[in-house]
Amino acid sequence: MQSRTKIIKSSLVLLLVFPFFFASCLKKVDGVNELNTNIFDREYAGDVWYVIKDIEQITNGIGEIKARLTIWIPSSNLPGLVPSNIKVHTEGDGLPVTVLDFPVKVGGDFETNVDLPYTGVGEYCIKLGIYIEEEDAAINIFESCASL
Amino acid sequence: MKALKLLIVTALLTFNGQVGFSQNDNTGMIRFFVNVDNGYFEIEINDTMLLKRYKDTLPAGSYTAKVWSPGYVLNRIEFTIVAGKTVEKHVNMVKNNNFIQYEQDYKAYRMQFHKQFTAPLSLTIASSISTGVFMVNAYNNKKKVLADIELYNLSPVTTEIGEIKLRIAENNKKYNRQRTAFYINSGFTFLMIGGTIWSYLNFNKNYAEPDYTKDSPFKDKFSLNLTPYGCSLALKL
Repeated sequence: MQSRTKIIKSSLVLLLVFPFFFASCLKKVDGVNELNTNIFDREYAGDVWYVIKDIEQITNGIGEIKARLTIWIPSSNLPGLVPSNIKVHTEGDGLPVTVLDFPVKVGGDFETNVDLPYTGVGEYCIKLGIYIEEEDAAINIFESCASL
Repeated sequence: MKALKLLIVTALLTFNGQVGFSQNDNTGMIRFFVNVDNGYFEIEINDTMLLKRYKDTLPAGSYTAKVWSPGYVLNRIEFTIVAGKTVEKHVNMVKNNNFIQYEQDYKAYRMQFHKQFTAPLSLTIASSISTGVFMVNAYNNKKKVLADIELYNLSPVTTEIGEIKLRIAENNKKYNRQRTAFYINSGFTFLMIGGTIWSYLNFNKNYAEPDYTKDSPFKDKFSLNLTPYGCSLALKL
């Protein structure tokens, strides 16, 4: 009778401990409400995802003077699976809406040059967005300016 | 002083239910039909022979026998063996009052046992199992949510990201529902475990299992032991 009581008590204690053991695994999942960090997400809520790395005055092959902006997309702003090319919707002062290719560079960053019509010394602004080919539309458009 | 035990026979043979008699033409068969619930009875024939089976072959003549079964009143019967014939003897046994009382007490005891232990234990086990089911389901959904979050952070495809986010929202909702159910059920299970322990201890404190002595009235006279190695008949004088 005593051993039976002992077995029953041990079983009940085990039943008591069992949920505690696994309860720690069932915490609230962090980050579910902060899924807005991917620049390819329509609901992206982060900062400007590109950087105007440099601006300079150049003369192109047909003798036009341009303000050349070197646009850089750091790999840290990109998702884990890096595409070989990103299509970027571009608007700028005197520049019609264009879709530019940003090819991947060594190291995983993306970089390209955008030439704007030269208007003298001053500020040049550009708007870039992630272009969605299927919809022919852009998301996450940000404007940045740089001074020449 | 204890009774002197005399070992009469130990032999490697099958016990045929006959002691002191040998089969010959002057024998007949007796079959007993003993009406008992437990299926066990002992028959002492002529104060000398103990029979634990329903039939035997005996020399012709008149016999008196005592029939006993655990919980039944000792019944005295008489029968006559006719050479070459089979006699059938129906024995109606009557339960003794102590045994009737014991049966009632035991029934009440078992009823209390089920009420105070089996039923709460069953509920506790059911509650534990459902807690486990909630836990496993919650855990599975959590795994799905975490896998999709990882996928979200990897994907460079806008349409795919939309689908991933929908899946995350749906599975996270399920996960939260199931983990809430897990915590509520765990609380209920703890209460049930505590209640079951308390109820069982309370039962042990207040109820003792009724006991009934089932010793044979013939046990002091002789005993027969059958083993794989042989049989022995011991008489207590």
